[in-house]
This record gives sequence, C-alpha cells and structure tokens, in this order.
Amino acid sequence: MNLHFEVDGREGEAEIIGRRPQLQLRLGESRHVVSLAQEGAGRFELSVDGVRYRGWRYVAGDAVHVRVNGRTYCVVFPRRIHKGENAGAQDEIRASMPGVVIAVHARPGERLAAGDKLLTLESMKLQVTVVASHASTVREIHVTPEAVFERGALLVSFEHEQRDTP
Amino acid sequence: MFTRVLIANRGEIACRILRTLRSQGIASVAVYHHEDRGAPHVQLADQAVQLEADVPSAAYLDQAQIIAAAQRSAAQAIHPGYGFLSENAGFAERVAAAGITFIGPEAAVIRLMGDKIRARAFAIAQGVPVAASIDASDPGTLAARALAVGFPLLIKAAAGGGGKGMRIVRTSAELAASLEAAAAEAQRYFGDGRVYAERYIERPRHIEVQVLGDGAGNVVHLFERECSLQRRYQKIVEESPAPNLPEELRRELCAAAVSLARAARYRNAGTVEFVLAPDGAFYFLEMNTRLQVEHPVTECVLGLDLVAEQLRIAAGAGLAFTQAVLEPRGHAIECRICAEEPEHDFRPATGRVGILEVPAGANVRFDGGIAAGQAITPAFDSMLAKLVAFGPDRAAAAAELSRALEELVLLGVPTNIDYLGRILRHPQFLAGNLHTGFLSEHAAGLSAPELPQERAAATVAALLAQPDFRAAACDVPEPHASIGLWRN
Repeated sequence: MNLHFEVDGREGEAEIIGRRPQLQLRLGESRHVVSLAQEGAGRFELSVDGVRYRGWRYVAGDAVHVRVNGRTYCVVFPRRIHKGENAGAQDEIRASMPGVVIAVHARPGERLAAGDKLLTLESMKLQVTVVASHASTVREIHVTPEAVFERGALLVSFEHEQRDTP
Repeated sequence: MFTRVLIANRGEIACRILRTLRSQGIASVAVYHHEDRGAPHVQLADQAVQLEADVPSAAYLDQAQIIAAAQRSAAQAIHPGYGFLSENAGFAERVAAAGITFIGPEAAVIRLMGDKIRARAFAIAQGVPVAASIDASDPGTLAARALAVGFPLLIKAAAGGGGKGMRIVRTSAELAASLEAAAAEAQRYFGDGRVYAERYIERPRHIEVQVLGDGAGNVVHLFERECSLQRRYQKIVEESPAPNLPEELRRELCAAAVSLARAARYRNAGTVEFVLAPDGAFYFLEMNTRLQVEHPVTECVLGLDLVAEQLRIAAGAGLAFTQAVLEPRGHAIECRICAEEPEHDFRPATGRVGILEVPAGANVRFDGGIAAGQAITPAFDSMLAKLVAFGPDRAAAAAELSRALEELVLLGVPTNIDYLGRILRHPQFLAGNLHTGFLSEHAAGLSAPELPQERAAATVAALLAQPDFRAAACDVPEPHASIGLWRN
C-alpha cells in the first residue's frame, strides 16, 4: 500500500516494497530496511538501516509527533478526498478539511462505477463533489445533508474488495 | 503569616506560587477562566473560584471579580505573579482598600516605576547612570537635540516597558515621523502618548539585579542575572551569574540597584534592569516591581525561595537576611519553553499536550503549568514552562541543561525545545559572548540541521503508528497487528 506523507516541509510517498527477510520500505526516493523491537504506550524502538532508534510518538488526528534522538518531528498523513485518482485500495473516504454536507448522491449497497457521484460538500466556501475513484460498492454513507464534519471525519465506507496490487 | 492567599494568575507562575504556599502550610485560592478549568493551577489549589469573561485572558485582568473572590474565600493576601495585574498600581490600591494585603510594593512605587520617564528621572536623581535621551517636545530643537545625543536612537513609550512600543531610528530624516508614529501607537496601546528617545546601544547586554526591600528603607540585592538572549525583546535564555563580568562592574551594578530601591523605600521583590554597553558603561533601563519569570536562576545560586521571601515581607516580618550572608554558589541557566515553530519565524502554535515526560535530575528544575491532555490554545501566552539547570560552573550548567532538553518529551504541540538545545550547544553561547542581537546574528547556525536518516526513522515510526500501513507491513490483518509486542 502507498501512503502519502509530509515531514519537514517535504512531501513523499511511502511504499512497502518487501517483507522478507526484513521489512523494506520506500520513502520518497530512498529505500530503507526496518526492523521493530519494543513498543509500549507512546514509546517505540526500531532499527532503520541497521541503526537503532528509541523514542516517543503521539498521534493527533492525521499528524504523528515523533521525538527521537532529542529531536522532534511532525509527520503528517494528509487524507485526500478522492476525485477520480487511483490511489490504491481505499475502503473509506475521509474529509481532508472541515466542512458541511450539501447533498448525498449514493445509497448503501449501491454499485458505482469510477466517476459516479457520492457527495457534494462545501469547505472553505468552495463546493466539491466527491466521486468514486474506481468501481466499488457503497457500504455506508456516514453523513447526511447539512451535517457539519471535522477534518479526518469518516464520510463514506465501501465494501472491501480484492484488487490487483499495482 | 497568612493562612490563606489568593493567586491572581495562571499557568506556570500560579503553580510555582502554589508550591511555596503548600510548603508553608498556607491555604491557596486559585482563580480561573472556564477555558482553564482543567489547568494544573486549578487542580493544585485548595480552593478555586471561576471568573466570568468573554475573552479568557480578560478574566485574569478583572480587578473587581478577583477582589470579590478573595473576600468570599477569606483570603488575607493576593499574589499577583507576573504580567496581568502585577504592575497595576490601581489594582494594588483597590486590594489594599479592601483590607487585603497586596504581595508586592506600594502602589505609589508601582506607579513611579511604571512610568518610564519618571523612573528615569528618579534614577538620575539617585546618581544611577541613564542613557542620554531626548523627549518629543519642542519640535524646533528636536533635530539638534537628537544629533547631540547621537544616532541611532531608540524611541520608547513612557507607559510601555518589557520591550513594548519601541522602535529604532537611524537617521535624522526619519526622526520626526517616527516619533509621531510611536506616540500614536503608545496612545493606542497604553492610553498614554508620551514618548522619549534614548541613545541606542549596539550589541548591548541586558543585565538585571534582583532586589528585596522591607519597605522601611532596608534593601538587599540578590546579585545579577544575564538576560541578553532575546527575540523581539522577549527573553529566551537567562542565567546567573552573568558570564565574563568583571567583579568591579558587578559590584557597581548591584550597588546602583540597591541605591535606587532604597531611595524608593522599596517593599518586596523587584528587579532593576540595566543595559551594558560593549565599552563597559552601563545605563538604567527600567525597574520591574514584581517577581520575574527568570527568578529561578537566582533561587538556584543562592539556595533561596523568593516567593517565600515575598510572603514574609508582605506579612510584615521584614528581611530574613543581611547582605553579608548572601553568597552565590555555582551557575544556573534557564530556558523558556514556548508553543511556537522556530522554523516558521517562531509563529505561535496550538495543539494538545499529548505526552509530557519531564527530565529527572537533582540539578534540573522544571517549572510548568501544563499537564498531559491539556489543550494549548491562542487564548494565552505561548510560554508553557521553564527548564532550569544548575551546576558548579557555567559549562556544567549548560551541559546539564542541554541534556535535560534532550530528555524532555513534550509531544502534541510544536515547541522551541530543539531550538533551545541548539542555543545551549552553540560555541558562542558557551564562550559567553552574549548580546541582545545574539539570536539574530547566529540564526543560520541555530537553524535545524538536516538529518535525512533520522528523519526517515521518524517517518517510519509514524508510518507504523498508522493501523492500515502497519497491518500491510506485517502482512497480518488488523487488529492482530496492533496487539502486543512483536519482533521481526
């Protein structure tokens, strides 16, 4: 799976490129070998490319605050409203900004094709229509017209389907 | 001694005052705005009274409500902390009129020192050096008088102080317009448009002297503090003693502070601030008639509790010691931890205190007003806590503070913790080459270095905190991937 992230003003994509014998990840342009050790409430210990790191992390919405080696980082995973991009298997749509629901266009159980309308939202005085990014079946619509939602709020969930990994 | 004291403040200083009250067995009353209802100072006090106000900070400025809270709770004294009403002469008068002891100086002295033009004149009368200055009157001779003092000039508001309402003028062409603009600003912010201009000292050091007076003419000094590391006139790092200060100069500064305080028959704690020029000349800046943020470094090198001394003097018991017995030992350095983003021009930040782990150590002191889970909002000042370290000498104190900063964990709101660590490790800081332009001059060297591998490790730690990514990485479906510890 790919996950878009931002840290220190840089954007990148994280991808799992291997799991055996160790976890291999691609972060943006670079590749890393990862192994995990201990974890506990807020604490972590892992090794990246053979170097051991111990630290703390705190999840706040779509940001994870990390303290390692006496330095603090804030890694953000922005959640995008899908508009026809194929960003890999995604079983839910979450709001990337606070806003209000103008209209609901789909129903639970409905089978949609890529591009079919799901919701019309208004955020920052702009109206946005959310469409299905690929053929999918709606499991549930979690909002109703005139509902106000926060950033990160769950809007739509889909039935899980097996897809070919690109 | 009082049996019940109300603290007219919040945050770290309220918690600090509470600690001393508790250690002395004095009952404490906290006041708070609704937005602060979960704050530590409210939880720690024996009693808490809610204040009503539309804007949270206005609650702590509401004189009538605060005095009413003191009366209702039968508090015998009010400690104003710093900021808010601590230097409000009218408040001091109203408190006294209500039959309650104001823990601080007399209103007349607060008023005198609060008026920077009157305070300067008072200093001159005591033979305390002041920087040459001019006032804004008589436009006809303005330019000539300014030239006589010499450019650059620093325009200040009479009712200002603490770095507020100041501007630098470098040429006589700008002078008249700058004075006018400054006067208009001063009128708007302080309700008093009087301004004056002083010779601006380049690369000055800011050295201040702590004093304690009993109100009957007896004053002792508690030596000096160096507060030169400032950003936009806000102190960031303070220490005692001041590094690389000739003993003779130290004596002169302390003697000047004492003579000023004595002449004012100063009562309770105060701080006399000076500007030290590179040539060794010093000039009176202002006197702060309250406890200062950076008082802990003085407490560390003298082994004293300044709040306890304040209570003692306010209760009429006089000074606990003579000058002769006061001997500072070792070195203490404090840094102010603020909710801000140094890499984005120090813009104030908001968030929540998700994780707070305070460093341990006999020589480390953490004065905070925050607790895990607390929301950090724009409603109040961005300073969250102070971290202080003590050592037998300056190098040891700096190393200890640097270590403590690395161990401190405060996650959930951006802070200047990493930036402070870089200051403490900077070679020019360690050499003691300080002046008020230090942080701008060394801005490049103080910016965060890029450490790509470390950043990658942080990113991985963050990724593995995302349930979906983690499940995919472990090839194990949720929730099993998140349960317990596992090894790869």
